[in-house]
Amino acid sequence: MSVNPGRRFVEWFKSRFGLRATVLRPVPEYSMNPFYWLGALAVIAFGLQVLTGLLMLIYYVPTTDQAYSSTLYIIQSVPLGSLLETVHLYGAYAMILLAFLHLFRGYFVSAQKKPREMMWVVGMLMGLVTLGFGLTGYLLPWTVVSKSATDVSIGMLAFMPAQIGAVMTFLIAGGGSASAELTRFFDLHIVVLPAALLSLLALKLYMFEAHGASQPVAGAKSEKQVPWFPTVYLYFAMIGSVFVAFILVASALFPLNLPAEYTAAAAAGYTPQPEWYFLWVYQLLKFASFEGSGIYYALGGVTILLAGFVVLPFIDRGTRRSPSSRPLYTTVGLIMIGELLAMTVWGYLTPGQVIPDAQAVELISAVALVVAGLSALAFRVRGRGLVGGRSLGAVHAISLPFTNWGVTAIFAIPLILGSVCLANLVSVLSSGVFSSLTVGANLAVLLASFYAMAWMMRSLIMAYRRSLART
Amino acid sequence: METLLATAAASIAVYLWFLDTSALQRVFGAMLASELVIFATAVYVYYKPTMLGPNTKWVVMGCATAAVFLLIAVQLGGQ
Repeated sequence: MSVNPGRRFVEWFKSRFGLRATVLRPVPEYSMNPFYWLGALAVIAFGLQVLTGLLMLIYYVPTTDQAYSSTLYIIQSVPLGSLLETVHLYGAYAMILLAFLHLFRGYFVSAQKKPREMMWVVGMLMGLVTLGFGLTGYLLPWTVVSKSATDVSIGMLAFMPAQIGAVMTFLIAGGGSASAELTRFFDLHIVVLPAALLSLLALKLYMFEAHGASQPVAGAKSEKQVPWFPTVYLYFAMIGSVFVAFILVASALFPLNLPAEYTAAAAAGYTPQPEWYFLWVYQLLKFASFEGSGIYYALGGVTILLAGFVVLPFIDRGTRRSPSSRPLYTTVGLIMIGELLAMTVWGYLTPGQVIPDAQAVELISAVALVVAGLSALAFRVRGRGLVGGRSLGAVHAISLPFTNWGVTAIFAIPLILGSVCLANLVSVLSSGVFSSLTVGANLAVLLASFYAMAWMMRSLIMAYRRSLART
Repeated sequence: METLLATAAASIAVYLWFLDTSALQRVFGAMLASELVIFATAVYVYYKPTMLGPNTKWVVMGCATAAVFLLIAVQLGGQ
């Protein structure tokens, strides 16, 4: 019996490399959905970055006197150079955006739960490395925009605890010269971070092969498996082609315009502003309370937030996975997305402006209030939760306070009152001119509001627990 | 539909061959994007890796997207 030579080669390849036993095992049919492939698309974006980055390396010179001119040479004189630079830029944007989407998608469908806790931790580290790519790569063209923004980032290291800050500054920016800074950023961008990302990616893929894709929150309709070749391979090629096509079209339509070269004189008249993915941190640092030594608290808060995300699997240990059965985590996640978007847009609209504390508290409270209200509304109206899953209303047959319009409206009163009083307190205390009556009155209303909200939340949780006990 | 896709892909490939791609790199980007979408649509038409049955909606969307990208390339070429 004759055997197809191509098939024989594939079998030999699989056998000698041990592929059959360890990698590329069949995947469940339900995972053939773009939402399951956000991480894979980010990897495609990374591949695109490596390819375009390697091509640019042929021409780029990482010295302070040639970085800008060599970048300009790539754009103006190298065949397809402008397209190359722009694809590298938009590929970076896409990679970071996909990392955020992958993170929040995983958060809402509980991808971090047993047995995938360490996949989540590794994924979070990969996300931080991806942001590191953005930070280090931004400096390399040596424009007034990129150098000024990077100097602000490096300046923040000085606010870390003394010894750590000094070591970090030396490792990242060198002894203070511009040349050392560029060399280190270049090294980090093309050697250290790619090595770290590839190592973490290998680790994550290994764990993925061990644990497989997470099940849909509503449970799998079919346990049918599909083979990697040709089904998954073709699917991957299909969505990857469309993804790269959109990056190419965006690059063709909106080619990169390189800003002016960095000089000390040009930087003096320029207000530094980071790229869009760091605007939320930038906006936070512009709050009046966080100016000067207050930056400790801002950086501490951001660190705690990120650390909280990293260790999330060890905090959220419940077995429920559907967003509709995790109202607290779902609402908190939605508020975080709302705040992230609001801070990003606000940061973009107010470059270099110090934000008064009262205004900051008002906006943050308003966003939290609106998102929490919409979340409550969604739970109320749909009854089936936000993203599929089991029916909250039908399965548990409960009367949650949040599902009652009247109680929802009443809950909004202390929330609004509390926000306004908090904003007032911050405003009068930071102005330094205040009377004890004003502070006392605001504080009293604030505490009463908190107490009212806590009491109502307690009622909500108790009602929820009672309904669970009944079912 | 399959013949149409194959003809479109082949004609664009020939057109690309005539182009001075280093001078018209924005056109090249949009054309390449159009080619990629046609490839994705062809994969969908021939292999349907994700679908159990035929679904013309995605084929139409693929062709429409490729056509829009092609129009962008033509528009950029005219500038």
